[in-house]
Amino acid sequence: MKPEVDKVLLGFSDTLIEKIMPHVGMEYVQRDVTLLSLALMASAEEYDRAADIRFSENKDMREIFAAVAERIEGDLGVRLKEAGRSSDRSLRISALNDENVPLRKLLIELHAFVEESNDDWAPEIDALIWKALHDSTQRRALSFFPF
Amino acid sequence: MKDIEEGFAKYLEAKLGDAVGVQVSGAERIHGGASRETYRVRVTYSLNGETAHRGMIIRRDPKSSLIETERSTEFDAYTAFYRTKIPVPEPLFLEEENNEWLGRPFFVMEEIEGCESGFQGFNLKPYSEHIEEIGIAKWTILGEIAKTDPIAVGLASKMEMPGPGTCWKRELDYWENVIDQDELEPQPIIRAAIRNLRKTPPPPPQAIGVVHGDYRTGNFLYDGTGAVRSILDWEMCHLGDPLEDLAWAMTPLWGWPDANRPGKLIERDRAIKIWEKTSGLNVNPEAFAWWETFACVKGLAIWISSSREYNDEKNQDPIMIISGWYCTDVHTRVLLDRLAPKGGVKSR
Repeated sequence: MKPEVDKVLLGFSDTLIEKIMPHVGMEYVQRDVTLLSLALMASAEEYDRAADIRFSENKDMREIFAAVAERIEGDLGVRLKEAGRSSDRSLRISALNDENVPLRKLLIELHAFVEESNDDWAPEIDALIWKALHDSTQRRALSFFPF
Repeated sequence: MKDIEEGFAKYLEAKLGDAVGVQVSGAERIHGGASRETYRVRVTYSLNGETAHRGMIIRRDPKSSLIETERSTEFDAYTAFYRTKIPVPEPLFLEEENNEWLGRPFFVMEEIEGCESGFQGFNLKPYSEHIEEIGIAKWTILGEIAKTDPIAVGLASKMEMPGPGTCWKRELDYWENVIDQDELEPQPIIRAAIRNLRKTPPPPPQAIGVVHGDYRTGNFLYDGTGAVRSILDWEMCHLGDPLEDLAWAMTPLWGWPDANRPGKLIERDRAIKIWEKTSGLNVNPEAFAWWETFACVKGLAIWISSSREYNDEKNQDPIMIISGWYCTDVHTRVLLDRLAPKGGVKSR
């Protein structure tokens, strides 16, 4: 579809504020129009990057799991090894989410394990996890705050 | 809005007994906290030969809410603080059951007229000329709330009194449970924060006090002279550590991106001094840091709930999605900054 969806959403956002808002009388509905416009702006930003956010997060988490799997024994080690070898089979958002959710759950489990570990490698993995969380938060950050 | 006007007129006729000529007009939905539908109405009636004209605010339970709270909590808080140093509207009526008048439970309070509530007003005259007075009043009143004896104002008999060592745990348990129930995706940063908070509990509070629960710009009314006329939205009011309220009021989200001017008013350090002087309490840095991290977790729990409500089509008010997207984004960034090892995190 051309023009791209993000451009269209931004156009809708402008239309709401510039053409529709002046004809809205009720204060409460004016607020809704403003909020819808803001939601369209956020949607436009997300359209272009949504797949990249999830793809990059999944990649980062798998790299951490692969790096640490051999060092952890038992069931957690096995699951980390499997997750580290997994891959995204589609770039559809729904498919990336299906991969992302179990990976994030496993990351939480690994992070809690590492925090309690006295092994020499634990601080390094802890730092890697925080770096992944930092990068994820940066990728997901919206470019402006409306309030 | 006719249904609100007609239903409320019948309610007043039933409640006011000898009143005659009850008229309700001008019903208008307004913004007033995320947990209840809020309506402004004009009421006229005659009682004992005197004609009364007054504005009233109706807070009705929604079909689904951002924050699950008991309406009696808010009504009890207004009742406790009415005609004290803490300005609140006069509480008028409380209906706790589904009813024939407005369908769902509701309560009613007086309307405080001629005021602004949002931060947007800080940029407009005459309010912009009184930022300092509004800021001083805001933090002074929070100090007054902190030093209030819950027994003296009658709240100790209506709200659970936590033990000094359990304030933090009760709050953290509650909001962690909200996250457990409502998260749409696993939250590694929030879970790391919760683990950290449990490992490093704060010292007991200097006193168990009244905690407003949502004290921030947007939840108080100020006028064109710089006076704070009313503190609103007490739906999360409880008894606990007064530092909880101070930390919530100062969480950087409310002044974003300027963390040094919480709520877009006066500087943080000055606000803390005003609060300490008024409350008679000290801000223990260790305890305050714990409550500031907790404030991020609590905020994120609320934004997660808002995303859940929208996602499940229980409440598709646009504010739910703005909270779920924008507020989650900022509070996550603030929380990450508080938790991540300094110097150990570099962008790729």
